[in-house]
Amino acid sequence: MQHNTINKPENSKAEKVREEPVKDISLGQNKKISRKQFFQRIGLISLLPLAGIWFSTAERTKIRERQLKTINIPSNVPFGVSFFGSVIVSKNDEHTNIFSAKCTHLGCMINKSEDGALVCPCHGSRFSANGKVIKGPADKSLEKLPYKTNPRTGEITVEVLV
Amino acid sequence: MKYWYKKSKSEDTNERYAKVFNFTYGQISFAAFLIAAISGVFLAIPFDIKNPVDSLSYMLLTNPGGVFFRNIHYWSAQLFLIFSILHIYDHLKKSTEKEIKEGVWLRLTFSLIVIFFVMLSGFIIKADADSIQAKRIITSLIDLIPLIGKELSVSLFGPANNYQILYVHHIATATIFLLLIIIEHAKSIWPKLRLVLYLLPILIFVGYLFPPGLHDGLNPIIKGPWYFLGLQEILHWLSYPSIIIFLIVLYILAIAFLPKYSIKWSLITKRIILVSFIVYSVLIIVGYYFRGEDWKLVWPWNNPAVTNFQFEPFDNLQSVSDNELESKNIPVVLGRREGCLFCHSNTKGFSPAHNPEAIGCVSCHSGNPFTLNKTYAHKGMFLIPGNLDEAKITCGTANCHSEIVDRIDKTIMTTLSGIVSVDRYAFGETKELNKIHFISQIGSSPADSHLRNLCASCHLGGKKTALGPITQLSRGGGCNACHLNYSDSALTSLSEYIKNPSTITASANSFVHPSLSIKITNTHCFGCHSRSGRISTNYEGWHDTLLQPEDVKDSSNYRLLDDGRVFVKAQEDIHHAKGMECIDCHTSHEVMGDGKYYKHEEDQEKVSCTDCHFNGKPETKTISEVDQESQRIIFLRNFEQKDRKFLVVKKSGYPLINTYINEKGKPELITKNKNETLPLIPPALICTEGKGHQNLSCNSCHTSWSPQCIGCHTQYEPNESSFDLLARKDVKGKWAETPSDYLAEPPTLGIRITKDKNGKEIETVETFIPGMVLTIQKKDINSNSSSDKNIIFRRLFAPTFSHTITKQSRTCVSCHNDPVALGYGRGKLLYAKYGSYGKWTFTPQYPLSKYDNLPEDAWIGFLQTRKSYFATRTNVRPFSIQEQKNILTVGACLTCHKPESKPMNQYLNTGKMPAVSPKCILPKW
Repeated sequence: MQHNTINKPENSKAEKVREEPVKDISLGQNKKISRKQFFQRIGLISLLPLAGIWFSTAERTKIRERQLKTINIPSNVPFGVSFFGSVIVSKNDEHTNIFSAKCTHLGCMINKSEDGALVCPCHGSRFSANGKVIKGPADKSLEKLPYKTNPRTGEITVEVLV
Repeated sequence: MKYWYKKSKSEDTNERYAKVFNFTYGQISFAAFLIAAISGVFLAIPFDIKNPVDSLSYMLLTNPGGVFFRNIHYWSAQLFLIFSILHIYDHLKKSTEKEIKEGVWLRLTFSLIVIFFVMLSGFIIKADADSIQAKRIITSLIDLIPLIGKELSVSLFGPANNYQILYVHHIATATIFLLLIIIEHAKSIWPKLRLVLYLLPILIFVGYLFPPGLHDGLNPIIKGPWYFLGLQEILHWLSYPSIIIFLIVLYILAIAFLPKYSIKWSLITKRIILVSFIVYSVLIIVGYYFRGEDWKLVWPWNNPAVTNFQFEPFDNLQSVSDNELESKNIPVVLGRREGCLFCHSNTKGFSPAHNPEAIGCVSCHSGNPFTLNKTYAHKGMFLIPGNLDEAKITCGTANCHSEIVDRIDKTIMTTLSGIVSVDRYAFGETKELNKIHFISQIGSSPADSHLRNLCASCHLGGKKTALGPITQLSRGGGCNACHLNYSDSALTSLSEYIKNPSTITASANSFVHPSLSIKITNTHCFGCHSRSGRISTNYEGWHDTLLQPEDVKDSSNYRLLDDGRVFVKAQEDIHHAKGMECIDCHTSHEVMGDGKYYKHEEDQEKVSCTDCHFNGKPETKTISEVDQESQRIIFLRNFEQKDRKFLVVKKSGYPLINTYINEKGKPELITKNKNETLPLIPPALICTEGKGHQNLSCNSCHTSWSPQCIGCHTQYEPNESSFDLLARKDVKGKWAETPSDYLAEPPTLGIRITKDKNGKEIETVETFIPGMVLTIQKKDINSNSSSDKNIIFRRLFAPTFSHTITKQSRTCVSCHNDPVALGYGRGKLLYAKYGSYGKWTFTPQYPLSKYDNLPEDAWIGFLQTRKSYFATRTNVRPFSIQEQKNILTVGACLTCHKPESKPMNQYLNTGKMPAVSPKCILPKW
């Protein structure tokens, strides 16, 4: 709608003054453009707010969809690597780490381990049980997620974006 | 209507372009587009964007009309893409970009992206395993675009797990845009009707020949649509994938400004685009044929993504009546409908984890779950799943036991590494005993053909081809070898099925399926382990004989095996007497391996006697400190109790899940199959405290007997035929073994050298038996070696753990005064006293071998040692001369002093000879 209201009067005006060169202040003296072209550009620039509106529409959609999902991990989660949907639990004698199952290369879901390494099925990146890259293409370690441990039951809760 | 030509179009302009059957590429592409659009409208009827996989799988199973439109929709879209590319190529070749208006050219350039978007969105909205990952990749890529990336990806592809916006773009936004662009630059609003009518039957036919599938995620190979496999390949090289965004933008800009370039630059740009296109096409081929699971490089013939392709033309043409569909449910399994259960609804007998309501049939058996046509549903199916060749796509499918399958491929029971290396070593084909070998890769050398004739069936890779339970005669079978169990009713069902295969579904009674479970009995191990070292029969107290079945008179004392061998009763293992089975000691991590290759069997073994029999405080783990596999088994076997402390296998750190410290602080073991509780007895003080015997392994004293074969002769009969156990076919030439004596006697002792954590060498006394004592005719193996005239003679002893443990240990004299224990073989070992000194002498019972002058059953000569070719391992040796002297010195003492006497006890406890009285007559060497 906005596009039409801006362009229509400008177009009809430009018809009348066709071929008359106009000095363009913004572009300096050497470059000459027609009045029609000048107003066309003004019109296009005035479309920019639309981009802003689109941007905020997408932004707000993302916020609505940005739901945090709580994943509960039992206190007796075994040693080694276990998969809980979009999170991976890696536990050993010393500590428990929770990683996002999202591959740091291009976001594929990592859902299996091979020889103790976490393997991305899409492009073959491998991560060690402590999230470090063993083999590319991934370049960054897996994202370590903060978690809470229930002091009474030992149950672990992680909040993860879905 | 504006034409895309600045100048008016003449009749002959059309003549410039490449044609197929008098139609230009553009015309074909447009027609394909129209067919895709219209078939898409009809496909939208059965398709539910909220439950894409469920609605598509239901449609594939029950809706032939929907399938008809889907096939056409898919193939017309592919045709549209291919001919659009050809169309672009043709026009760039003829430089028509110079003739097009600037705005049209810019919109055409942009439509290139839209073409790929409309294709990819179609691929993604089916929401199968590939689609989900493809969406994650493409959104991650778009996210990388600076400033607007995240907003762009949410606007184009929507949030994760939601396909609504993408569906809108697929059916409306992108389609309308493409239609406008086509109309704007093409000659007419409608494609040629004639062309549509020609294309339609072709598309219908191709659609039924190669119907588009649905990837249910059981297959672990994740691949994008074919036209993006090149991109997937490139992305797999790129740690910084933003490069690809930059490249795409660069190419789009290069095309957008093409009309502005000089003729020279235009040509260069086009050549670059053409070369990139050719390279990209090669990458598509690489991605399709040479990339497998986890995008690993594989040969096409080993690539399940290629080899599993089933040519199933017209497989969707089946008819099910509305009544049948309304009365019978097609259950949803793993997020999609499983057609198998429409017919096989009365099957029972599964272990809880393998209930088809949870995992369906296809998870294990493969086949096609998306058709109700029996022939097509059963195509590519494995009647017996679990063989290692297919384990990756049966038991080891994604989300099932994939990690175990990887381990199984490396376990010694699959590789048979030690057997291969020792055999080749004995045949003189290698001097190396410490390499990893694979029975599946052996060739045709004499040693390898010897293995093929006599040994190569006993490995997990051997294929189970016949239905039925695991018996004494079973070999291999992958996962089945240990986990397959037939209940009585399953056996009844099996015999009914063999009589009349159609009963499996037609019978009103339910069909009882065998189960796959952790109920692993000694019978599962027996087939293979009753051979060679014969630990299965040893353990149960049976000793092999040379008798024939007809020789057996007193059947109570003999056992006839299914393979015709006759075993005589012998001392059983104390653990067997107490009711323990193989799996009560040998854990899953040990038997199935830990993902490492091992050279020899004992390297993979982790459990040791002292894990259960100990003094003091053991290392323990609670349920939350154990690994996933152990935990799962603990739960499956109901061994979990609050705060239970499980004992740990010291060598591996994994728990022995059936052992624990009880409430009274005492260690106990529950037998896994019978659930009987047994106390774990600490070792005697003499075992742990005495310094004299500190370097003795438990089995060196507690092994009651070991099966020993004397005077074995190996011969090759070139003219006889035999069976190649690996290739499973008859071959010419036969290796035959002829033993002359089987004995069940206490084993020979020797030394094994291992290293502790700090790299310090530890010498332990271990038990040994004749391993490979054999003569081979050189003419049989075409050896050119000049030594030993015409014969290869080997006298290799092998370390053993005979599984004939008794509570009572061997007596002192059974080692110190025994020629077999010392390695001299059977005979008279006498201590003669000559005044102030004594002398040991040995008279062998068996004749001396003409090849090395040792008695047939000896490992070493009396007070001698050997330098080469004496054992099947490099880390073992017979007693040195000094060690023999030390042992025999104690032996000399034992000729007068009773074992339990004070001086002998003192000797044992301190490890030093007590003060010698003048009456003592010590040996002179």
